Amino acid sequence: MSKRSDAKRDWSTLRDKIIGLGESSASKSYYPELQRRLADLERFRALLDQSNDAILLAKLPSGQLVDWNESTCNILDYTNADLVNMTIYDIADTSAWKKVSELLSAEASAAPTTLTTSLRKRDGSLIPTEMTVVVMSIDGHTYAAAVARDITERNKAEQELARYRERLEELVVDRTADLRRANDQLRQEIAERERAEEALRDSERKYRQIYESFYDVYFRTSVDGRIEIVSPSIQQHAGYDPEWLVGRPVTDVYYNAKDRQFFLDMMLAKGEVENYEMRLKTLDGQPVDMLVNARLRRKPDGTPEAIEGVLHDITDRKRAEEALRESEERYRTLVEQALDGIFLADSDGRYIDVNPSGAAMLGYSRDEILSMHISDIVRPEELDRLAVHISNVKRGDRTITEWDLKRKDGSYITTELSAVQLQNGNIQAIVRDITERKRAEEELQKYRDHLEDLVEQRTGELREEQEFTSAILYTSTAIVIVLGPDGKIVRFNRAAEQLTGYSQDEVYGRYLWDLLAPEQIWQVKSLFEELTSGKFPIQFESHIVGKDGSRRLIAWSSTSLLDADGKTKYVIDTGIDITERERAEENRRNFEKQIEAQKRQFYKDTILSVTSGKLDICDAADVRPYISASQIKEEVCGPDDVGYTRRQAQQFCEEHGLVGDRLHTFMVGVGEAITNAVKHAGSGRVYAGTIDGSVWVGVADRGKGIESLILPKATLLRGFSTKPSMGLGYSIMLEVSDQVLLKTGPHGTTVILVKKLEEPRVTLESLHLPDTWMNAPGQVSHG
Amino acid sequence: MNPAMELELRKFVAPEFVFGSGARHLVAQYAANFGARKVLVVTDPGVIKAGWTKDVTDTLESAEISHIVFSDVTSNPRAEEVMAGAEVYRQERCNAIVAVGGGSPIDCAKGIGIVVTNEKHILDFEGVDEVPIPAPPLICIPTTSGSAAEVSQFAIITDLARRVKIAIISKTIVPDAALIDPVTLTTMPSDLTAYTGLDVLVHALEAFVSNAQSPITSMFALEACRLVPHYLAATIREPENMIPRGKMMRASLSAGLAFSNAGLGLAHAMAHSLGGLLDKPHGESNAILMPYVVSYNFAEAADEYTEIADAMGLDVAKKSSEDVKIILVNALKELVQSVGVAPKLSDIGVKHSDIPELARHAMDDLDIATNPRAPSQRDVEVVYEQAL
Ligand SMILES: [Fe+2]
Repeated sequence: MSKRSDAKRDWSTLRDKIIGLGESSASKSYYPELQRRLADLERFRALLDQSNDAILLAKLPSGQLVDWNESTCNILDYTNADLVNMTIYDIADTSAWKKVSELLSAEASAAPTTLTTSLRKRDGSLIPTEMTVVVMSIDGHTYAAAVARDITERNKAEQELARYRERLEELVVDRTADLRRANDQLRQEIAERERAEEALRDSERKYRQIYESFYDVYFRTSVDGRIEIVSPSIQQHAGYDPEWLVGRPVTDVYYNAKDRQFFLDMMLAKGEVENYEMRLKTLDGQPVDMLVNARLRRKPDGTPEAIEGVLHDITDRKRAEEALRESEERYRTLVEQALDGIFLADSDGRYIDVNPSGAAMLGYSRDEILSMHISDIVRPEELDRLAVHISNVKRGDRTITEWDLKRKDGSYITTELSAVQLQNGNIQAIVRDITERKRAEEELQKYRDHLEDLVEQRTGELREEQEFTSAILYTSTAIVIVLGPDGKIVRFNRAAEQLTGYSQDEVYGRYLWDLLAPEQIWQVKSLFEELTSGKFPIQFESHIVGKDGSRRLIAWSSTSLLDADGKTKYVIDTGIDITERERAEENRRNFEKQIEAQKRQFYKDTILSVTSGKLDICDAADVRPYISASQIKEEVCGPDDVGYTRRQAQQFCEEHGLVGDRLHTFMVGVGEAITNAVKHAGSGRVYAGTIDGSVWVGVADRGKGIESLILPKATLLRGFSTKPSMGLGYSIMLEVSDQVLLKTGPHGTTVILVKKLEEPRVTLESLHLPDTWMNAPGQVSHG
Repeated sequence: MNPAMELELRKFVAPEFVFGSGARHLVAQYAANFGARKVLVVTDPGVIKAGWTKDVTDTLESAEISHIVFSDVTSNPRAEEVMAGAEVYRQERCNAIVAVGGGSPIDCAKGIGIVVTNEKHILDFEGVDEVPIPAPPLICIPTTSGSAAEVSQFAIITDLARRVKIAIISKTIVPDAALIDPVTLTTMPSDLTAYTGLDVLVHALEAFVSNAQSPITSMFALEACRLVPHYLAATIREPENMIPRGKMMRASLSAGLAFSNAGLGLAHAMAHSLGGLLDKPHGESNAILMPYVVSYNFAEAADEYTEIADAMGLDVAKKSSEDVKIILVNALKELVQSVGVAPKLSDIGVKHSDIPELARHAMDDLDIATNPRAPSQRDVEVVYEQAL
């Protein structure tokens, strides 16, 4: 409420905003919004293209591919142009066709489904994939979107891992032992060599002896790069004849000649090297790795004279190391890239390593996991089971087990886990998140259970319904006859048996029309055809002929039961015996006819006397002579014709001697008669003629007629009308005519107005005509 | 007019519109051009009964544009109705809106549009320029000649909880197209014809004297002032005669273009308050209040009011300012009564005790900002009292 006191101050700001020159007061423009959405879409598209999974969209039911990402091309080795003309069936593995198309045709499969299948590459080879398919509807079209993940590497990785796991530890131990042995040997040999050198100085003979039997290679090279001495063992390691080598450039035995300069510089600088690795070349050009221990020999004046030393062949060791590093690297890569989580724990259950998938699965960082214990991520109630499982694993049990693992956010995921104890005592577990799979399985199970229930329930209902129907059929007082599609009787209930005297067995297999009156057979057959062609229900009446020949009139109600294809399976005729009712009806109708005739006679007599013979309620026979002698006949088809026909009648009367006021008053009555016909029956016919010094005008219509009960009112009461808009009607006709003949019945009304040419009995003034009198007759006035 | 003012920066916003008989049948063409896949047709039961909704949906169907009709709209559209409509729009995955009807369905449609694009509650948009993202394509087919919501940047929504009518004024809710078809007016009942016709005059008057008016808006406002007094009575006398109906529709459009860009004034602020608190018909409230508001404002805009009086066909040549005021106020009162609208607020059930609350709410109404005279709350109470 305090805001209100500020309101006045805000008014000028509001005024400026309404004028709307500010930045935010832009008119409606979709471009920024459109651009934002396009950018969203492009980003999304880029994401799809970056995905390593093949993502594709196919139109159903043709399976025509309509969109796909770059990975689809890469994985399948097709170009975009190739894929444009292909269907999903071209690239789905034949064995998976069925599965895919089943899935696609199932209308209800709105939920994504994952299946393991293969995709076919351009060269026909198959790639194992895990494919998630979802069917969706866009703009009235159905599409299948599929995300396929190449699981070749995963499969290979899993296999290799398994293999490797088994061998890794042995390998490591083996190699370590080899190495240690090699090192010990080396150290020993170097010591020996030193001792040998000492001895060499002392004794040329002794030197030669040792030198020749030396496993390692003794060498001496001049500073300018000539081989001066090399021990015979060089032949063993590199294949050279030692005699041949002497005097040759030392670079001949280097694998990379330029290493020599480096080595020389180092020797000149340091005076000696220990365990320096050097790669030499064998006689046939292969590399051979040597460990060099050498020193620089100087002349007494200190100038460098030669390099002498011992080469120890380490090719084997190198090879072993390389192999180990490679396999370690491969193992590491596999572990890092594996989609499954891989956890390594020490034998006490403390985690010592985890791969990225494992950490992501649980929502922790790697470091967080490394501070945890196996029991931290298991449900508390499963700790006992965990202890048992760990001890099983330690005993070598490699069963795959299911565990709910706790994520950092407190939720649990369901996993499948296989664990193994490595030789060093550590426990390695490979963990796969199967939450989704689990849920799908449970849902499927639930659905299956539910299906069973449904089937059972439905079967029960059907049985009950059947019993119920039979009971009704049996006890029904109505006749029920069931026909096959050929018209033959297949059911005949008790009421039908009682009515006809036939038993069900007697009529079984006969046509329904065999039981009917012969003259109605044709009609009933054609009705039956209508029923089987889909027009039902149908009501009709027909006579049924009993075993004893008696006829009963039956009111039938028939309908068709259709099978799943919409074809008639059964026709069911339900009938009620209306013989008695029909008879009573007949009697009543006759009686009413008599009464009506009596009533009419009574009214005719009464009205005739009341109107001094002016209004004659008569029969068709009385009217017929007028009509047959008529000199004009005009059709009145609607309100528009009233004026014209009235003028025709007027002209006729005038030509035959009716003139002046007598003519004009008479025409008011004629106009009323014509209007009446149009109002009540919609149309009519106007006749005119002369008789005994009078003219007459007749109007006939095909309306419902005036019921006898209201005849006196309709004809005698001024202004009475059976319809609110009818007007004055007969009282005017009576007043302006000398005689009025009225024939009325259910098939129409004919009124004949007769006017004497002379001897006026009434004058215009004596008529008590209402104000509407001067209205142009025939004009239908709006109420 | 002050010549310097003519050169002030001014903006004029209006949608593309088609005026003339049969304009409504262009709806499918416009919807298709806006890329409509599924159209939410916002309308009300009265318009459905008169047959205009079906007329429009048939046209859409013949162009195979699918649609869903939302008609839960009352005569002063409520926030809840807007939110319900937005829910239908989302669930049915619509991407365009067609409003068929008077000011209520059109305002409701504007509200639905901005609720779905901005994903906020309708009441969050109250005020000027509070709508960040424009509504989806909106095509309006008016069936009354009054609110001019089909061309305006205004939407008036009732907040039942606070019992106030809130105004949303934003260029982003100007419809994309208005199909203005005078034929639709033939089914307008006579009381509604009178109310909406007078509302048009009030729009023109208030826009013309608004402190945010400009030469362009004044041109339109004057045109409406010329048309209404001439043709309003004829439309009531001969509801099916298309000539006066067409003139009134044009008057509504002109006044709408004027007030949408120049704003309204005190009469509307006070009428909104009556609508919010007591649910009184908008046009009726405006019509009763207008003479008293003119009387209150007169001194601040005597020249403008004289121009209006002249346009309305009143003889004000060489009259003193005081005389013009009397002539204009009386003419307005006469016009109101000549079309059968009650002359006083008490006639429509407003009580003296309602006035303080009514005035408080009117003071909070956005339309008061462009009134030529800045009133105090007591001023507003006095105008209500005079009109009582
Ligand atoms: Fe208004």
